[in-house]
Amino acid sequence: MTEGAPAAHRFETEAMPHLNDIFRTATRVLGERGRAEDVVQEVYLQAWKSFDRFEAGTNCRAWLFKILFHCVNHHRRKWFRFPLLKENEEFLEANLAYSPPVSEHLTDQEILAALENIPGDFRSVVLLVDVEEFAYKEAADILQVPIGTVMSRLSRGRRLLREQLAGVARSYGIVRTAQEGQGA
Amino acid sequence: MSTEMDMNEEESKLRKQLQRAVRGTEVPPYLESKIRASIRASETRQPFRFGYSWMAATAAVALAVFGGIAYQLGHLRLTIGSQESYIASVSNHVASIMRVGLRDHLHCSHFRKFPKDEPKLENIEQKLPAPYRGMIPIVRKHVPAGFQLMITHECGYQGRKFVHLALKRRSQLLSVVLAVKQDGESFKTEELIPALTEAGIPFYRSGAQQFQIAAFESDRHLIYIVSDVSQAENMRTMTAMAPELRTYLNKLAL
Repeated sequence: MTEGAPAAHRFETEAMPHLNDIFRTATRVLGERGRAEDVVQEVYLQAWKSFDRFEAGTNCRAWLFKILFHCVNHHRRKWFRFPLLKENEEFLEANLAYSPPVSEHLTDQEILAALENIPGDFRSVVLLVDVEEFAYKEAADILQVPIGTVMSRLSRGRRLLREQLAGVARSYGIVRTAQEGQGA
Repeated sequence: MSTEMDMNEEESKLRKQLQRAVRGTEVPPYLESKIRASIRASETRQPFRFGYSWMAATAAVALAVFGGIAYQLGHLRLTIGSQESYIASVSNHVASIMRVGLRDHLHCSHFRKFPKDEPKLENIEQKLPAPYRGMIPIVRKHVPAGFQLMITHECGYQGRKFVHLALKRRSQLLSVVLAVKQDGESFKTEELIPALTEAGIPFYRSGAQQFQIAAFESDRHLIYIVSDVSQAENMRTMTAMAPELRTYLNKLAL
């Protein structure tokens, strides 16, 4: 316990405050609160077990997110319901040429539903950069992908999200169609 | 930040909407304790790591069994303190006048373990103050198909009294909550913008996490439907029920 007590205190002060951030990202990435709870519990347990390897003073939040995406990828392989979605790039380019405006009248539920509809790889980057406000470099390190991939996924993820939201807004008759938008 | 520099106004607006929506997800209060418990469990089993791995398995099974039981027994799932903290964290996302109905739903329905079958009406209607019993047929007529009336009663939360009708459809809950207005309380004075107006009644809408709130007011009451059905179904239920309910409540001699 001589070594354990200070480590436990450090873990409590450095890792536990990020629980909310980790949980909400896990919920959006996995699309289900129950699974998110299981994964978050696993993240914290793994973090605790390897806390001796965490360098004090470095970014504990980014370190926890890295463990989160490691666990998520591990579980995705196990759960056939959550395959890694690889979108055809040509298809995306063809469908994302127009970036429609997004209405301010959309509810949080509609925004979350739209987010859920974009492929997981893009959604993860949007969550890390736009919601959790990580720099591209940090997001690249968390996801273990090159920084260029983060940038292209972010750009496509944002456009996919806008397209989804514009679809919702069009169904309410509150935004223009793509043709109207391009013609304007 | 490079992300900020790359953004135009539209993207920045979307980013703010997205942040608001995603950050509305709160960690369940029991998760923190579960994590601490699993960390403590991992600490205590470390000295026996090689010889007693079965102990870890037993502990995991026990944790899963007790976790399952506690989850099923909704009222045991959280301590009173953590229930209060959960109610506060969820209701903080909505306007104060919308919290009135949401809090009573969370306190009185969400944490309650309901019986499996619908109780007989004569057994539950007696628990509702007599003047409000006429609401029961109106509510039953307009709730979505499959919802069963589980509770009708007068309840209290944080010093305020409510008339509460709780309904259940499989795992979904729907509450019709009435509160007598206090000191000029009104959706209008709170300057909320109605989501729609039908039959001359302005309807107000809000939501936090999976809970949808639709509300309107009569002369003396604030009336809420709080549920975990979709936002559209929740509002449809309210707009269908409201004209009859308002007429009934305005005629009440309280």
